[in-house]
Amino acid sequence: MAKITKSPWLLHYDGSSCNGCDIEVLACLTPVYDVERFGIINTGNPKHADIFLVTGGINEKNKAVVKQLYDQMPEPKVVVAVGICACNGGVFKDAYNIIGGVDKAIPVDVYVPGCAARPEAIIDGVVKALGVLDEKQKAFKAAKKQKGATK
Amino acid sequence: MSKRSIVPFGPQHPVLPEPIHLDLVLEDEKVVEAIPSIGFVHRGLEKLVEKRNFHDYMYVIERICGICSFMHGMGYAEGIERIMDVEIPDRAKYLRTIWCEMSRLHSHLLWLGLLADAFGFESLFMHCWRMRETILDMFEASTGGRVIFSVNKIGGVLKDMDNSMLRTFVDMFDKMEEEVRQLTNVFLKDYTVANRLKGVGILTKEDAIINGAVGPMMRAAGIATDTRKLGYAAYGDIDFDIITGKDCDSFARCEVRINEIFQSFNIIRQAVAKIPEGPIAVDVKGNPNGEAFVRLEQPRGEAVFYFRGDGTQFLNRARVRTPTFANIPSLVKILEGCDFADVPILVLTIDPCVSCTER
Amino acid sequence: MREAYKLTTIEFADLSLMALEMRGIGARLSQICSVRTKDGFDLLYSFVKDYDFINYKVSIDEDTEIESISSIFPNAFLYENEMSELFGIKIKYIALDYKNKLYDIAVETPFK
Repeated sequence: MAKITKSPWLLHYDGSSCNGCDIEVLACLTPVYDVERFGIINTGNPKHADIFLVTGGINEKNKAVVKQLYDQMPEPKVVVAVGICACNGGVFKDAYNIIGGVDKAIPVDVYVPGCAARPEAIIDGVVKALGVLDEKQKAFKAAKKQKGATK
Repeated sequence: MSKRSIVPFGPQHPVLPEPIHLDLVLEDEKVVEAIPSIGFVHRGLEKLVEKRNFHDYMYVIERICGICSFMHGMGYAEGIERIMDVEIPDRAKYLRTIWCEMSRLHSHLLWLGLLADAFGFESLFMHCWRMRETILDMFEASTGGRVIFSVNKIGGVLKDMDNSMLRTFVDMFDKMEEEVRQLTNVFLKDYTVANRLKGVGILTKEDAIINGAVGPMMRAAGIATDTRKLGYAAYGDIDFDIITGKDCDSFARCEVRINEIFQSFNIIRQAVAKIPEGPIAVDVKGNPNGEAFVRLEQPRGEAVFYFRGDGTQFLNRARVRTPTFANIPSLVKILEGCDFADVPILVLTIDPCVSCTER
Repeated sequence: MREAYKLTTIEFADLSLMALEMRGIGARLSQICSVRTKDGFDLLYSFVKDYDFINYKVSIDEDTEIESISSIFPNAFLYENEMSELFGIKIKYIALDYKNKLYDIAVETPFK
């Protein structure tokens, strides 16, 4: 990636993780790892967010919450599943209340494995997500242009 | 009578790193009643004990919570050791004590940061988390993990810290203590912090007992109770005083946790000075048969573990009553009558750990 | 050093009496949990008074309906809701009854 084309904002939601990945996501935003140097800011509002970081697996009660947050985010958007539980359920896979990874509720673009996912891995995942976001943006703009031309 | 309205709070909220939902019944700007609803993080880990053999379950129970993961693992190990009547080597007890206090340090610094973030003091949040990284580096050097360590095993610990490493840690803590003192002075002396915390969320002594509060919530109400005084691991050989507050408000809870940070530095120093040489684990043979209760003092308060085995390699029942679960009734109590704008701060002052609560 | 604790077995009819007694000595309710046994459940009520850890065991069979102690210890409501949802223990007069929707689990509860 040569340059970052925009400064993306993150939305973080804890699915049903053990907290380990959540504090690592926050650790990314604070000194030492500090993704804010790339212009990445953690926001609490889904309507401001470009990248959706989900930690932990999906259960019946939070499925609707994750879906709603995803729907509230404006297009184009990228979803990053952080941690092995968010990828496929991980160590909790056999627990009765876990449906599986985040992809059981919403489409996921980038998977970041690890238990708990290390900050370096999360940053890697976010950078990868930026590439996906760029592509989605291009496609989004092209579609918009085409729509404008046919009108 | 003014009009009542119900405002939902959570599960996704900027101040909450984790999902908890509260239905707040408001009368104008005052909260009249708060009804908690949990279950967003419920996984069913207590039931998973029937599918994992009792050695493997250690890795599941450590993942109840990523912040006090070491102490959950330790509580499980102590419980099974108690059922099987295994006495672990002294060095392992001291190592457990040191890791416990390091967990408490990182948890309290994390909480101070989140609290600062909740009242919009961004730079303070960053400073707390910067200091916390030093402790995480020590964890990584000694166990290999930053948040989940997996160093406990039934019968001792899996990794040793050699004496040069321990001395380095103590030097690092000495240096850190000065820095932490500067940082915590901001919490204790800055008027913006005092304005948000003083006189808010009062939980009296009587209410604390009736609502079954634990940990810093209890101690901030002036009740001197600390499960570490029971002398599990190596705490019996270590000299420390119970820290209490007297104002029963959010500021007192903040003060108690800050003083506990310095207490932890002290305990680690004592433990490093006293740690004996020797093996770090004993072999464990057979399967657990019987039942045992274990109580531990986690950063958030007293945790109760209960295990029952029937002589097979699968336990019958594993029960973890985590501190946040016990503190939810107190949270509901302090929310009654508070200002709506204070709700996020009050939710944070119990140091909520939702993944612990719901398991 | 391991903590010594008391474990007393009582009848389910004496639950409220026991709770009142505990409230009288100024203990706090530390936890309630249930364990499935061959023909019913063991309920374990734990109280803490200073550093004493006082436990009561109540053995009931599957159909027994017990009384809530949430009117004596308000924090009991969470534990009792949890027990009734996950284990199907019948408890009457819970102060804040979630009607088996505390965790809102998708799979069928109680577990057999």
